[in-house]
Amino acid sequence: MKLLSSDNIEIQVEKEVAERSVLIKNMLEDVGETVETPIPIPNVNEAVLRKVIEWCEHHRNDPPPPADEDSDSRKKSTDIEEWDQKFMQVDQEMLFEIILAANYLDIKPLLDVGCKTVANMIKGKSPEEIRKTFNIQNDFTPEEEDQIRRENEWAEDR
Amino acid sequence: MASVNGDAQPASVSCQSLPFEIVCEIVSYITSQPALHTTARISRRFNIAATPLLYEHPELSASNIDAFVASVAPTVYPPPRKAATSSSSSSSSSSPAEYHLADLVRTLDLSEIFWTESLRTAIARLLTHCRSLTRFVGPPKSFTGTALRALRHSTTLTCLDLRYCQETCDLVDFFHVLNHLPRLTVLHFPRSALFSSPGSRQSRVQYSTHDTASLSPTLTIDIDINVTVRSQPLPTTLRTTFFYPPNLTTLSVSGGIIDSTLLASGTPPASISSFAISHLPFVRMTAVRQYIHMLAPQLSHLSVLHPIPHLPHNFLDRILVSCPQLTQLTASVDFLTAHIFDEENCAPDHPLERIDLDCSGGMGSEFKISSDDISIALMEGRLKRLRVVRASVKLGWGRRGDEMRRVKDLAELLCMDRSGFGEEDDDEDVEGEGEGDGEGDGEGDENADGDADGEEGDVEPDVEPEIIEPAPELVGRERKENGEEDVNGKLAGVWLF
Repeated sequence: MKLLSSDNIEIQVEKEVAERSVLIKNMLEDVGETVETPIPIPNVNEAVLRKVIEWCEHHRNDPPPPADEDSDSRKKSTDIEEWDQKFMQVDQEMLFEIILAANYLDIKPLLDVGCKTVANMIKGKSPEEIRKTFNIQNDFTPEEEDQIRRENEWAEDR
Repeated sequence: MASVNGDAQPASVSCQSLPFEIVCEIVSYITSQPALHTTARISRRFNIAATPLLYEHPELSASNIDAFVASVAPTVYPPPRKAATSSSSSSSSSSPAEYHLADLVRTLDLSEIFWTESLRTAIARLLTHCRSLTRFVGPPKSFTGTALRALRHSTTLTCLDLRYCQETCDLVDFFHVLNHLPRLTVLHFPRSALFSSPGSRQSRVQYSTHDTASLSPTLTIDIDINVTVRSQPLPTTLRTTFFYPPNLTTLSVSGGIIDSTLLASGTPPASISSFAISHLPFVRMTAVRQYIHMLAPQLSHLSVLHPIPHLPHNFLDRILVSCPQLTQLTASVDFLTAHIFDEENCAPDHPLERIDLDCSGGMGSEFKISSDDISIALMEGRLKRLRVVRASVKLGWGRRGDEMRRVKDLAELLCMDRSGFGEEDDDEDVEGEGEGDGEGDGEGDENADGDADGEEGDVEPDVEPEIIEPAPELVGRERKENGEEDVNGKLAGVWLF
């Protein structure tokens, strides 16, 4: 079957691989078995789509994730398997594009890997360093910043 | 990896353009308290995503409790509200417009806080403010009086753990509080609670150590005096008994309760599958026996630990017969003898997977059970599902060289597939959760899988023997600090603690 990226490039992909995306899987189920025309993916450009398909191909035989997803968020592991770590070594724009695409295409495991990667980049940095890394604007007023600091003071590392 | 990404130039697609739910997803992977604290200071969106996680399960210690109380339960009234949605670009909308920090707190674990000035009022303030609390772990000190009574505000609690409370608190207060907590599924009694009130403590203790029946009039008088202050006198039974939360699954009982507390509180809920007793100075054997007998058919976990002075040395010898579903037994050897492993006391197909043996260190207790007693039972085909044995060093196992070897033998036996042991065709009778239990030696691995699926889902004898064989008891000692979680069924073998 074929997918059509936002910049109008057709990409050939096996049905089984494409069905890692819940969005595409549901679409195929709605449409029926045979799909001749490429499926448009309007929110994802070619480069990102190819990257996402690369991930889906590598993970095509993964078992479905365990059901007890939302147990305790504190116990969530941030371990990323080696292949995924390498896969995520891309520039920041691509990283966020992949996260957005995974979110849009509904590929939960890929979204998880992306979010873990970003979370690991946040860890161990100061707020200022994080803002610089991700080009985030500090939109607190000085008073707000001061108040938050005081409020959460108990949680500071000591 | 971070450096590769981190040095990238500001891009057209950046953190700012991520939808709010993805920011939340990212923040959900940040688990350490200081890191969440940092995250909450990045920007408004990150603040909104991180603040609930920061307050959900706060890690509290003597050094930060005061600051925590000051921000969650401030003395100013009304408490300051937080705007949930910032006016800027954030795309979140579903959350309420305003909230208190206290509303975010789900767990209060005060077990690390030994003493701070005015801890009692601090706890009372926290409990009054935090109305969404689901889990409370009491502190070792100061959980009495107003602090204990403030628990009645926490009607959403599902877990109440007062095992660490060492200071004497009033059982009447405690039982009164229980009436307000109908959602509890896990309940651990305070171990040093007594039926006491100012002025009458002495007589109450004396009473309790003696015979219940003959002295109950005294008790009634005492109670009447205390109760008249609040309301009209209530019958004795109402005072020494409590109401079970209907959905209780885990119950541990300790402290200065008396026989009638156990027996006259009504039938324990059928949902209880885990039951523990320890620190029971006054309860006598017949009451404990009768109570455990009520619960026995439904129990998967049972723990009987010293000190319970009224229990005899062989109290638990037939416990495996009365508890056919038991998968985990924790006991002081003070209350059992090697006869527990006799043929008539444990069936080959009993689902027991783990035994923890503690010991008060009393005279002679170290000779009560040896590793050989268990080894023999296993070799004769009993307790085929048993995989983990933990033993207190006070039992003296492996103290001398040849004993060490015997402990090692037991460890090997535990790791082994024992489905063919015992020579009789018992296998066919094996019932329960697993698949293919009755297929004989060839299917040994499957047997093991069946065990794992059935209960904790973690016993895998295929792998374990390699880890454990070299020197199981030494591994056990090294891992002592890691606590129960690691040992729990994960590693077949013998552990000394």
